[in-house]
Amino acid sequence: MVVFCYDGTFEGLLSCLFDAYTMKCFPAGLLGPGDVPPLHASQVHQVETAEEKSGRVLAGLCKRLSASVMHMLLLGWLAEEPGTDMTMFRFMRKVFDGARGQEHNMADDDVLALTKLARQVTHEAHLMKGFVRFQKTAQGVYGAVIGPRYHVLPLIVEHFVERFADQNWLIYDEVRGQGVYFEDGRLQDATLDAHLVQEGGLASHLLAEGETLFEKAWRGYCTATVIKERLNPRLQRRCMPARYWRYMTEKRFPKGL
Amino acid sequence: MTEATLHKLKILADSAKYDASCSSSGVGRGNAGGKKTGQKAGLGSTAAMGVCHSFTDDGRCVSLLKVLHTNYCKYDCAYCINRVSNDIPRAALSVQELVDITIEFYRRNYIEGLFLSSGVVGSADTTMERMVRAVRELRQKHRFNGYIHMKSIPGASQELVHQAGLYADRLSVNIEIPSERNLKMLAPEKDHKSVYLPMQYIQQGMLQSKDERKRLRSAPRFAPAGQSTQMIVGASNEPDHAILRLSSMLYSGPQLKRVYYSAFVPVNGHDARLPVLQGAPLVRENRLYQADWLMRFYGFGAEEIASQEHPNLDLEIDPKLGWALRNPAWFPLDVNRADYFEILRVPGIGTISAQRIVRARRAARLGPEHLQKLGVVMRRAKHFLAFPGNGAALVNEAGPEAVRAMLTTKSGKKPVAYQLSLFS
Ligand code: SF4
Repeated sequence: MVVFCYDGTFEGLLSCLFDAYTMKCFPAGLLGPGDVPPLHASQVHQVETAEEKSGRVLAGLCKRLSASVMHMLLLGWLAEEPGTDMTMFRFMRKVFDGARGQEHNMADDDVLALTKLARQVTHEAHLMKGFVRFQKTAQGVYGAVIGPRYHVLPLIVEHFVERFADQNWLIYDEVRGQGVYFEDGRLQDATLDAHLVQEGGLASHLLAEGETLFEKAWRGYCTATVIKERLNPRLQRRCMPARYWRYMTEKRFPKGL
Repeated sequence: MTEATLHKLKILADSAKYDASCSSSGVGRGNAGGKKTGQKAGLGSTAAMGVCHSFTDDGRCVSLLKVLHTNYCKYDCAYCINRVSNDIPRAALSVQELVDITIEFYRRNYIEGLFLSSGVVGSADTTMERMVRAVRELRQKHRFNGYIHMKSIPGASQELVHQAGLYADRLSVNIEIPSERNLKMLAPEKDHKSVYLPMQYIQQGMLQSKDERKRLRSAPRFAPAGQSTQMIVGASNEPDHAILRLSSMLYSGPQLKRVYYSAFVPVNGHDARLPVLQGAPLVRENRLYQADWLMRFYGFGAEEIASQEHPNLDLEIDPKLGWALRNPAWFPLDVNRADYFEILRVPGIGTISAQRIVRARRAARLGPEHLQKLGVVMRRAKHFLAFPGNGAALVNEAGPEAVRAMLTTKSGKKPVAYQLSLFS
């Protein structure tokens, strides 16, 4: 049994495909950095990520797939679910070897799995557009901490650039330790030191004066709009899963409040 | 923001919450600034899809900051918490306060925009005028591009409705009570004219702007997300048949985008004009939303869903299943041959799975194992489908009663009381 070892990047995955076709040898499994080869692996091939390899595979995919299916691949990748790389590997093989239109054959398990996953990622990205909560800092920057299940930050940045074009803001994914900072119309990668993050929000010493009053007003608003004859916490949790509450002003109650 | 403003906000949100509409969908608007226009960036944008920012403990989507300008009101509508004869805390927000709260909430991504309504103080026009001032200030002074939904006050002049439409994305006038006789009984100062006249103004404004924009692209848009309305369910005795017929009539015009149904919550003390209910009729409200959905997206006519013979929706089963059980001879259906709208009529098949079926059957003949994968709920659908080896009891052979019994008792579950997620 052959397994491929690669660097865990998308370009790396495409390079795996390139190597497999040139070597005419298709792996039974893919190993990312830090993964331990299974005991029964008879051969481990180390894949080198290279632009000329990944570029050619990408070009081949683009020729065969519509823009929306290409986007689905990106979404599947952003899911960062274990095992998705192998699903995508098999999917791409089918695209290259199979008949045209394979990518729409929902009766195929890989197509189905990827479609489902892509839908979940899209769904979470849509939710996050609403659930992100900014807090204004004393410097006038609006900062938000998020903790999505999938790596949706790249999918929502555009939305916030458009929406908050006239303010400086930062969105930080504390699960992945990655963020973006938007200042005076320019976007850049950013991180936040651990001591600046506190219980799903910004550390309280960073906040602008009066910020807690706005938060209080928002909590007060959310409480006031409840119709008690219709209480339905199960529906609430279905629409707004509890895993996001830690980051949401109306649901988080950091100490000292 | 001061503690005093915060206190008023709570009162006015509490007073506004019985309006069911919250949607922020139906219009896309970019930020007016940036390279394209050479202008300084304004605040905000509107997403065509609509975004929910939170969900309250009752599971309703919070998209817009829904507040009243004031909850003082000179009228005395029996079903309304703000009626003049109620002894409740009253408050009013100044234009400045309203604008500030909206902008500050928006900048923190709490909301998608503003839903502004009001009780009636002074004349309808003075009330409407103050509301218009607030939204004008948001749009013009603060270049606010978020979503604005504005209520038109009954009795307001055409001129003011027209101004409102220039700033708001959506305007609404609530019918509240489906028949005029009952409306007059419960809201003595109102009649259907006071509802339908402003609706007409809005319609005229929209048509006029559409016309002008054909000639001149830069002509102003008028309520680009259209108008909506609401009916209270269960405060008066109209059957579902009458409610749905009215909705379908309203939808036949191009400008009405949504009818909302709001289960009557008895907020006031005993009133001989109002029915005594065991809790709000939430299941009925849910069934009406499903029926509304069938009319808008499934090609059903109002009469097919409820009629003189079946004036009320069945609370135990959804309206599509109800229709299917009343029309057993229409089945079984072969999904490999039927057209899209026929497939949509099968219980257990929704719009997404119907679209997938139509696409997938080009590649191969579909059997039950495929349908499952395409998202069809086979537990329900199998009683209505024709395919070789289908061992299930078919509705046209076993009869509607038998199928109904199987579908209502098997799961052992009570119908889900309120599935807002289906409709938002
Ligand atoms: S006019 Fe509107 S706010 Fe006033 S009592 Fe009637 S429904 Fe309530």
